[in-house]
Amino acid sequence: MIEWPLLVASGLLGSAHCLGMCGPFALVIGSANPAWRTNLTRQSAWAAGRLFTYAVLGAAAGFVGLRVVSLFPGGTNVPAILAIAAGALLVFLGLSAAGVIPRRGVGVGGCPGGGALRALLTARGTLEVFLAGVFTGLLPCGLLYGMLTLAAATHDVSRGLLTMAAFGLGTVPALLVAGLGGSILGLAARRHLHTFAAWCLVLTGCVSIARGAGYVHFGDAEPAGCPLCAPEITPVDGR
Amino acid sequence: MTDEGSCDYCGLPLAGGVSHGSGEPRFCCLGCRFAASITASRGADGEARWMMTRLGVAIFFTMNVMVFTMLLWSQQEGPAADASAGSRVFYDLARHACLLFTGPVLVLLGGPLFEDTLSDLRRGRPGSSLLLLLGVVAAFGQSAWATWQGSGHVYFEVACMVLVAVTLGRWLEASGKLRTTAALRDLRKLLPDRVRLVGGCGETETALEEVRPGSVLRVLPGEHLPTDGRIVTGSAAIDERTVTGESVPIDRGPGDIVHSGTLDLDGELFVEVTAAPGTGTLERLIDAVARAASGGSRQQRLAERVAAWFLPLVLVVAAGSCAFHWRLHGMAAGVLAGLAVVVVSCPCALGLATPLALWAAIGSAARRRVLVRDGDAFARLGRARVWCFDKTGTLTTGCRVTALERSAAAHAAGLGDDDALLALAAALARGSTHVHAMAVAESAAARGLEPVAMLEVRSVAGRGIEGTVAADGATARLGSLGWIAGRGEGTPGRRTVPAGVPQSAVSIDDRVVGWLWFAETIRPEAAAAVATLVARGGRAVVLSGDRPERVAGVADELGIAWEAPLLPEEKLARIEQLHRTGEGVVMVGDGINDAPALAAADVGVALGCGADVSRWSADICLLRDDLSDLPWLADLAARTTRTIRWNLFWAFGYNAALVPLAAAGWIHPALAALAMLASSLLVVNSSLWLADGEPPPRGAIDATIQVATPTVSAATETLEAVR
Repeated sequence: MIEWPLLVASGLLGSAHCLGMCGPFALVIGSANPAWRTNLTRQSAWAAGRLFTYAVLGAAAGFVGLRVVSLFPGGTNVPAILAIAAGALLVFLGLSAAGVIPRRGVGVGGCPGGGALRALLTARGTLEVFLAGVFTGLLPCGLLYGMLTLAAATHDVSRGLLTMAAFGLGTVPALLVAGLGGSILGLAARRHLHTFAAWCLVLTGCVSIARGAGYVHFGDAEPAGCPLCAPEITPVDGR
Repeated sequence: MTDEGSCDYCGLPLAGGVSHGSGEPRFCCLGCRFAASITASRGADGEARWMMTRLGVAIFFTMNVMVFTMLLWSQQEGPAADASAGSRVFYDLARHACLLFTGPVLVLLGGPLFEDTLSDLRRGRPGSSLLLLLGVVAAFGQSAWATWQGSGHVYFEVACMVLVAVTLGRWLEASGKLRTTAALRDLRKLLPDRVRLVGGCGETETALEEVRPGSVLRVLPGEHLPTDGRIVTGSAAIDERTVTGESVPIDRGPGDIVHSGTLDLDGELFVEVTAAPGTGTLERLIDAVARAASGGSRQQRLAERVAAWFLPLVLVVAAGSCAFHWRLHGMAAGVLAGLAVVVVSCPCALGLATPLALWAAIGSAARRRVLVRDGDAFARLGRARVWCFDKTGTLTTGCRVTALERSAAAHAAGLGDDDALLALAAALARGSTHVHAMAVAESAAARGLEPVAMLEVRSVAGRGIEGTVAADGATARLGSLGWIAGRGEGTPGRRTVPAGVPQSAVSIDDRVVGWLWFAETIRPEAAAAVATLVARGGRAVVLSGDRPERVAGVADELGIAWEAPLLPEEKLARIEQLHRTGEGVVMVGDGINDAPALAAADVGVALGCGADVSRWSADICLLRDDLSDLPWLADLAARTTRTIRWNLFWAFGYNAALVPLAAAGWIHPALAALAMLASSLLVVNSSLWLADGEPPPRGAIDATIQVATPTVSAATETLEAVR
């Protein structure tokens, strides 16, 4: 299990990725009410909504992980494999964001609920903005899927929940800044940050893979142990 | 739409043409009822926001319930699932939290479901709403009792998930349907709601529906004509693009006919109404398209037949499954299994698969001013291999002057250069509607020549035109070589041209002064359009009544086969013969002259349909007279057929796979609800691609299939795991 500070860091560093898709939402929320203080409340409500959804998804992922682990009792293989899968996904996302792997366009059709989300984002009330955050958290996002796989690797509802909450927390600052100040960094700086964030994703993915790989064991052979950090993946007692 | 059997919210046809109590609003599904009730109380603008807020709050509470439920589940499974004091306290807390969060969901979303059930019962046709409601109430009742008692299983998540998924799914369907019918509604919006009625006591503003034939309306520049009529006073340039596709504005003055939906560009008009309310040109046009969509297609009728016995079958399976599991594992298991069957079955996907795609495609075409009058035409167009074209007016737009030459006598007659010859010819040609005369007039205008002043211009039937030159009283003639040559010393021009190229001569006082050669103007987009159709695997052929050499000229330039001369009945016979070979035949021709051939082909596509929809004989009409609409249309037809097939495949496959699994008790109702939601979304989404007019990215549908299949199988696996 990767420590939560590292997850927050992943969120922080992945934020450049978030700015691409979710940044416009933050801007829309800000544009509805330009007063600084009101905008801060709205941005916080939106962030809270997103965080809530991430936490629930994390809990669900943790639960799915738990079910999968209990389907294959007697080993650490399942969470280890999940951690490796999550790592591979993150590495792939990082590499494609960095431009190393050519991106494939995946078509997303016209979502019938799109107009309604827009309506919520521009609504006056804080409740609506919070709900907009809840729905934003459900938008398809590769980074999210990678993190969810990681949450599944915890094979525990509350730890999965906390994993995603920690990751979500990391994404807050960048979006908050984007929503409050429009754009603080210039285009070139943002592009550098984007590339940097992409490589950070690759690094997070590699750490996850290494941790997972350290705990895969075959037959009766003892797991090799984590090559990088403290052993957090706890073997499930052969229930 | 105004049809008898259509939903009051989205305008889609009601399944099986449900028609009951007059005046009572009719909806095709729970989603439309839900959305319409919000629209009624808050207006269309407030609808989306209020809907999302209501649903959003319910979803928020449901997510809370799910987290606590998962904690409960993992506690039951975990090693600490003993009866320790701490564990019991946690249990109780989690249950009460679930109870607390489920209440608002019931209040927010239970209402519309209850109303829908009541409406079903009043009509004497209880449907799945009743069962869903019973299931939700049973799940909630049992759980609340267990929480109160402090023992037994709780199923709060079932009640929440079913309500959220059913409402969300139906609403997404409703708004998806609304979007597929948006194009036609946009057309209808061209007509103003209120008009200025001019009467004896001045001008009054009144509703459009109350205007009767004979009344006089005042229309200001920039307004759309509200109804068909005849101009009494005033004149204006009218943009008739909406109803005739003609992109050049036409000047209309007193006595001229104007059509509803056209745009008054620059003048104040007083128009005497000639059409009864709702029967104007634009309304008839929209109704024709709407009828095509609600008429349905072969696949739709098949789906409707299946859907008719699908619901009873689901009810029987649900009842059987409920009884079986009740007997084996107790009441809770029975109710859950029965509910899972009802929830997971998605008759909507079945019922929506075809009409949604068809409406989306027809609307998308209408937005491009391609009007489809027969829903089945899309399916036939998708299969069509042979494209037959009429020549004149279809592949060609008219004639142009390709060359001219002066005779030796020209100089003596005062025609110093070619422009002088053309100016003389243009003076004669002006006012004639013969294709060659029009070509001469256009050619002179294009060169900026001022026609020579003429007196007493008259046309000699079948031969040409003659007139008196105002300056010197000489008799000038423009006409066929035979006519001019026969009158005097005329000889053909010296220029060598292929046989069959049309030629005219000009004479002054029976002396030939020059010759003109003509060629047909092929529509600029024709070559590319035909090439694209052929590249798609089609075969193109020109069927024309014109002289072979002329047809050959056009066909060779386009690089396609030709058959000429064909009398109208021969054209018809040829099309029937092609049709018998089994290859789909599309006839593209003039809406009026080629009517029999258009009707005989598998699909008739007409250009120049004119404003009067009742005179159209074709299945599809290209209002813009633009041949590049053909490949686009063929593409749309192919995509529509593919989408319908995929939608039906999905709807049948999904139900066939998941209903038995649910009946076996392997699917938890909460996951059944998610699966149903995913299924509805897939069907709506794939159709929306057609409505938005954008081709889906290559392989996107396949990608969706690939994404969707593991989702469902993963859901099933997880459900199994849960149990």
